[in-house]
This record gives sequence, structure tokens and C-alpha cells, in this order.
Amino acid sequence: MDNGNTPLRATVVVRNPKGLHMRAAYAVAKVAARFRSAVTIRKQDRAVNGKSGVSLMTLAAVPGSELVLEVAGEDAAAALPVLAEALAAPSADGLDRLLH
Amino acid sequence: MKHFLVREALVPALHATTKEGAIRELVGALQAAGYFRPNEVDQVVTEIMRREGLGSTGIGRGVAIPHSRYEGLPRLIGTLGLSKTGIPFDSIDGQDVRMVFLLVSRPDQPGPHLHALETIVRVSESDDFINRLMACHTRDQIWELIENTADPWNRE
Repeated sequence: MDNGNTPLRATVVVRNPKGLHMRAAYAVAKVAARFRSAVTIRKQDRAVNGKSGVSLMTLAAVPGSELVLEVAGEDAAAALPVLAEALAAPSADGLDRLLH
Repeated sequence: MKHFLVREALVPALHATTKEGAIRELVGALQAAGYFRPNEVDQVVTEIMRREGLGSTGIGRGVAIPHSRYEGLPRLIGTLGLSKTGIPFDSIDGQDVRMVFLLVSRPDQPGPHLHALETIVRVSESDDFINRLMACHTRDQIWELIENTADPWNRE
């Protein structure tokens, strides 16, 4: 049985036409904080804590950026698709629906 | 930061003590520097305050990045105002804001805006930068610090 130490990964393309701007970054971080798993988001050689909106802003992810989402922990399997949807969302509006 | 902050619009000592007052003072400084017509100031302030209504841009550590998009600009522009007393901003860490970076971007150019956000976040993580910035008393001192601070994303 997987004990959650092996991270699950997904590659996600930013589809928001404004990129991962401040409000989008905070919205993704809020969704990530819902899970117990550690969430790491990578862009090329950079990796940040996906639960920090401020850190996510340092990725400067423009529209079309390819991000690697990495989730490790007991609820990783549940978190991965939800976070992939949040990162790929075309708008920061409505991401609250992923909080429940 | 020297690529988007407008030197002539830097405000070393904000008079304003409220969020809207600080935003108005900084947009006014950009207007005085030639970037908006006088009759556009209200509209830009309203847009920035509308964005604040969706969630404060106070990112913690005494830093806020109020922003909006606006048609008709030649490029992303921004300015910076310092407050010695601090301004209530509903920041994520509850701290009053002492450094207000205000950005106005072209709607069709998300890249420069995202890079500006990245740059401001990353320089703000440095205690040394914040201490040196808050020690500035004149526009020239601020500009000298900005000129000597490399944009973190620009790995030239």
C-alpha cells in the first residue's frame, strides 16, 4: 500500500488568459491548503510551495506555461485532480467550488 | 524594477493614511509624471479599488501591490510610495503597509505584469532590501536602490 511518500505528479498548462496572477495564485493556494498532502508546483527548474499564494506568484506563470504539480501525502490521490483543475482554470472566479 | 517603476512618480513619504488615499496619491503621481490625463485619475483609482474589493493586495511584510489593467498605456507602469506610519490595508498577515507598489498594466500584456509581481515578491523577501528601502527619504535615494537591485528573474 502506498504510504503517501511517493509523490503523485501531473503536468498542467496554465489556461487563464491573464496567467497565474495574484488572485489566481491565492485561489490555488487556498484549494491546496484544503489537503493534508504537501503540494509542490514546479516551473522549469523552480519549485514552490503550492499552499503559498505569495510563493506561487514568483513562478510568473504566463498563459501557456507548463507547470508540474507534485502532491505527496495521505490524500494525494484526491488532491491531484482537484489541484490540476484549479491550476488549469481559465479564471480565478469560481475556484471556491473546489474548496468542498 | 527600473523597467516598470516610473522614477518621477516615486513618493518617498505618503501623506495618505488610508488605502484609497494612498492609491489616489500614487495614481496622482503617475498622472503628474505624464502617464494619465487628469480626468482619468478617478477611473484608474476606481478600477484599483474594485480589484481591492475582490481581495486585498497586501501580501504581508508591510508590502502591498494594488493594481489594475488600463487601456491605452504604452507599457506596464508602476510607482512606489513609502509610509513611515503604516496604512491599514487588510493584508494577509494583518500588518499595516509601509511600502505600496502600484501597478497599471496593459490588458493585452499579462507577461510584464506577472514578472513585476514576481520581482516585487522576491525583493520583498529580503530583509536587507526592506531595511534599505525604508531608510530612503528622497526620490533619488529610492531610485538609486532600485537601480542597484537586479530583477531576480532577469538572469543576465
